[in-house]
Amino acid sequence: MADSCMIDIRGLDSYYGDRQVLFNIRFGIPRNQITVIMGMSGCGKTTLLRHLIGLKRSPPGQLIVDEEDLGTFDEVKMNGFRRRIGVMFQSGALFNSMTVGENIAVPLKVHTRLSKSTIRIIATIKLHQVGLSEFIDYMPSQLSGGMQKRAGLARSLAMDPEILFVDEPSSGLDPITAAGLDNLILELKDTFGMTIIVVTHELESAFHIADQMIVLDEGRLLSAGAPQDIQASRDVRVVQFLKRQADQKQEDNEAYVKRLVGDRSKRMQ
Amino acid sequence: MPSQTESTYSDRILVHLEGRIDRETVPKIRNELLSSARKSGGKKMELDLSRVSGLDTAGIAMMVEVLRVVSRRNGDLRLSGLNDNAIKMIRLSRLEGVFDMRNHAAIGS
Repeated sequence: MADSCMIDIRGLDSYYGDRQVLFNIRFGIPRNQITVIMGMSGCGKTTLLRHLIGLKRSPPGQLIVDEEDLGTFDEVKMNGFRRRIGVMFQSGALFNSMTVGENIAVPLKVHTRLSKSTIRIIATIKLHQVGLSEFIDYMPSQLSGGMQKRAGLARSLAMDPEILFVDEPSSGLDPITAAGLDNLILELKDTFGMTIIVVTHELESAFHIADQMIVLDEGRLLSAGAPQDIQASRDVRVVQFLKRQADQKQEDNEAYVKRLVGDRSKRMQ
Repeated sequence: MPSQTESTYSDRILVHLEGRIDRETVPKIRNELLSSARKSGGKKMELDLSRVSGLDTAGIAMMVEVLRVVSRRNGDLRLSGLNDNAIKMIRLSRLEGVFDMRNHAAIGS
């Protein structure tokens, strides 16, 4: 692993039951940089993210964070790791029974001994960074989907995390707000030296913020490199993804018919 | 360990902060700092950050609390000795227009 890598993924395999969804994924996530993970729907991006944040257990030896094997962490060590990270989920994932400000206060109340007054100011600052400070006393249900997402980002920043994971920051946002979030992500990297991992479909945003790009395809690592390397790739699937070309691959028609009506050859006998 | 030393002059209170000012240390120094702010009584209060080795949002939030206390007593708060990281933190918090900031060392002695 290069010295500058904070997270090293060493041949990660992942399964849901018997179905394998990630196949021997290998790449490093550099410290203090922005890594963007891209790929078509169902390619395994979210599963990979779930492994990286410890929501899905990784087999020992396959996911190393700061020289420590995440796959061997007990609950105490995993909680320690979770204190170092911030996660913005695609939906915002706010607690509906709490105000927006109370949502942002949750990690600070749980993990620090800061006073209520200090916590309230931190919540206001974080909400202001995402353009929502005037909504601190609103309930999540009073916000639009895009606003909930931004409030979720504010909550993920509450602890000034060392590593920030952001799932689809731009989807569902107008272009101006989305560009504002991209700039905030760049500013966070610059100010805190945060290591930031962004999962996105949005190509314009990805090329604007990425130091490194990872392209997944059907659970496999298709390409990894600097944005200019990905842009210059001649791999058919990478080109198809970047040019937003529809998938021409057709499902086996015979298998489809068999699935619908059963095996006709057997019935003919 | 963070530390703070206070000097009182006829026109101002000067507080030197030292060490990391973050979510772990703010609970330990906040009360004393707010107490200094309450004593300022309309004077200028200056926080010298030249020996601060790290600052996070909790540290910034504590300074906002100090500003509130000083402002309520018709005083002013100045931050001095700011390094690049502190200035970036204040900018990221969108507070550059709120604090009176100096990047040189504290005035007077």
